[in-house]
Amino acid sequence: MAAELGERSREEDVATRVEAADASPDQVSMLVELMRERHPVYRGRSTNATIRMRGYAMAAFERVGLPEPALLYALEELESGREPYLVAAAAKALRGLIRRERRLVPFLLRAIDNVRYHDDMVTFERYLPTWPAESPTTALAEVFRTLGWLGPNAALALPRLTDFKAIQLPPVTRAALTRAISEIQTDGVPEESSCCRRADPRPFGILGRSEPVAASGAPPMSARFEDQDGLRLTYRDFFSGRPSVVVFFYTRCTNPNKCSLTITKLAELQKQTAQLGLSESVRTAAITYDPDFDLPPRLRAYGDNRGVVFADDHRLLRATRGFDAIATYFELGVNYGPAAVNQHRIEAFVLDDNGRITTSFTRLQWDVRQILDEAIAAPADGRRSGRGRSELFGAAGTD
Amino acid sequence: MDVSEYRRRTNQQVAAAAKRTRQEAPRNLKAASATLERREAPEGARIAAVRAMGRDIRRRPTLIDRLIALLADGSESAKLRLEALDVLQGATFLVQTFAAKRPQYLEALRSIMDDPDRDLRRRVIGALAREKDEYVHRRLLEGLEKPSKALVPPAKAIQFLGYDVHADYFPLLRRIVEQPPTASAQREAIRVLAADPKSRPLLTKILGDKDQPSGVRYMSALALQSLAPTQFEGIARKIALDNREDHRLRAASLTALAQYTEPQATASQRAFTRRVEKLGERASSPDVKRATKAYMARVRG
Repeated sequence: MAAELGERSREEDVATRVEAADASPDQVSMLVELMRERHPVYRGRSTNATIRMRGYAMAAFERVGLPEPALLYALEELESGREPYLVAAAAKALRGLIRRERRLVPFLLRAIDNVRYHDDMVTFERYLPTWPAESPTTALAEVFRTLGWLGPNAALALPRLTDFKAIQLPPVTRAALTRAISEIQTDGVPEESSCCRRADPRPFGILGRSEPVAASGAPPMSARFEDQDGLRLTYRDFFSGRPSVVVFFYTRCTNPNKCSLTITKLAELQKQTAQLGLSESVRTAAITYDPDFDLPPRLRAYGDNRGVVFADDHRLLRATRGFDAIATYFELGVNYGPAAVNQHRIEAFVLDDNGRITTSFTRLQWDVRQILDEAIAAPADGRRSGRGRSELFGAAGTD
Repeated sequence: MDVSEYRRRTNQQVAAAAKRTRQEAPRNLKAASATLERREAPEGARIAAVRAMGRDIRRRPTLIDRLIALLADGSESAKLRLEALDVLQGATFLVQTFAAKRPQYLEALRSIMDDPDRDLRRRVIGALAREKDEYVHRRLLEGLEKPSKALVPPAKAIQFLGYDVHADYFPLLRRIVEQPPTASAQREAIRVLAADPKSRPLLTKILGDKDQPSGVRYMSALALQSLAPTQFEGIARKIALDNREDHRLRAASLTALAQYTEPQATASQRAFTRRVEKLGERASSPDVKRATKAYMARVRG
């Protein structure tokens, strides 16, 4: 039996395991596990290394089949990812699905927007390639291929693809585009996807697994924070007495679709809360993943630059003690390199007036109004703990 | 050199270069393309042709393909290829035009990372490092660990790696700081460690070590100020008041304390300010005198 993949595993050994994976349940499960940011194999690695490892594993789903638990990871990457290698891997992974669902199309279109101005040559032919590589591809080429693979189900994408015909593209991308247009235009009946029937509120069946945080155990009441002005307080001080919205971020994040957008949306949420006259009823907080680096002046500047209005009930926080307990309670999807975060998911939570999670919004982009509605409705005593939601699918998971 | 003299010389050089370009530039794009394709044409004329093509890139994006091919062509002169690289780097600012060419451009850069021409290699590696390219990171790290595989000198490699704080070179840099291959590599490593909270103890140790060169301690002070401002404040105060300390470092500490702290906010800061005032009266070093004056000016608002 192969050894567990962990912190000490060599990158090349992880790649070998990925290459050898077949469609057997244990092998597919090993690949799904590698999608989790917190997998120990990513601990202490650079962001580039995590992109290589995770992307290589994600692309393997094209070969072994993409199981339902891994679909959300691919959709997340298409929706918010900016790294050509991971976006290409996610597009490839979708081609491992059994059914060709038209609901995938908006994610693929968003991926086009995300990478079209900073695409790159990538290759999945071998791990740790040297350049020039033998048969490189691009993120856009892989997205086009997946749209072509969807055939008539991707008819919605045709106008966008047609626009691209007028643009100069690398030969590999151009070939994928031409073929995709032809495949989409092929006479054929779109496969009716269960997702599009109104009666089915759980497209792809993934909602229950949009990683609702189980809220097991007690909130980390004794965790200590310092806010953007250097004022000290505990978890109990801030998160008790009223419902709260809490998001996670860090100031050195380089993906504008993640932390920067999260804090900008938090500012918008504050604005809407004020318009409803609820500024004193719902607290908002953003907690940094990177408390050693994100000192108060950095927190303040980051919030100020994104429109956050600071007040007693609205703060950016860094944990000075108990960050591990916070990470455990919120099951944070984050991992660390030697000096900084190396990867993380999008995560926002609504807490009740005892600081307990009532609803979690993870991986996919969250909607300001939806999270605000949840916060307004948040009851006392955590009676609804463990719900998972995601904006794009529009329905809630359950405990 | 005096700065006005420097400016005068630079302006002269720019004017001379512009004149040369006007004289050598082909009359139109067709002529420029033809000149570039004639390998027997004088190098200066071909370089001018590349520049002329660069001016037309916005209207004719296909020129980018030709320039990428030229950049990747190892049989062409390094000067000509460097000119192509200059033009292509300029073209990257035409975001919409360049977007479709970017994959091939980056691929070309990666493929010539081992070019025998030192200048071209350094420029190419720098361009890729700014993109946080994973291949160039791997190669730079390999070069730092195995000098026989180094693509650029260690200080340059560290500078390039430092563009990406999400990398895994920090433990290696800490080793380099303690056992530096060159003095410049040590300074560069300290500068980059300003992004690594785990390096605080090492930076504190170096800053407090009077046996270290003052340049190295100065760099440590800057790094520590960014990483741990409160801790830095305490150390900087001690350095500023220590007569046996390096004058440049004392002056730098005072300047940092004046700019980044509130000199009158706490009792201990007020006490320190009184000592700085006295220091200003008796300091013999002009650097320290100047820094105390600036500090006191800040206190008095």
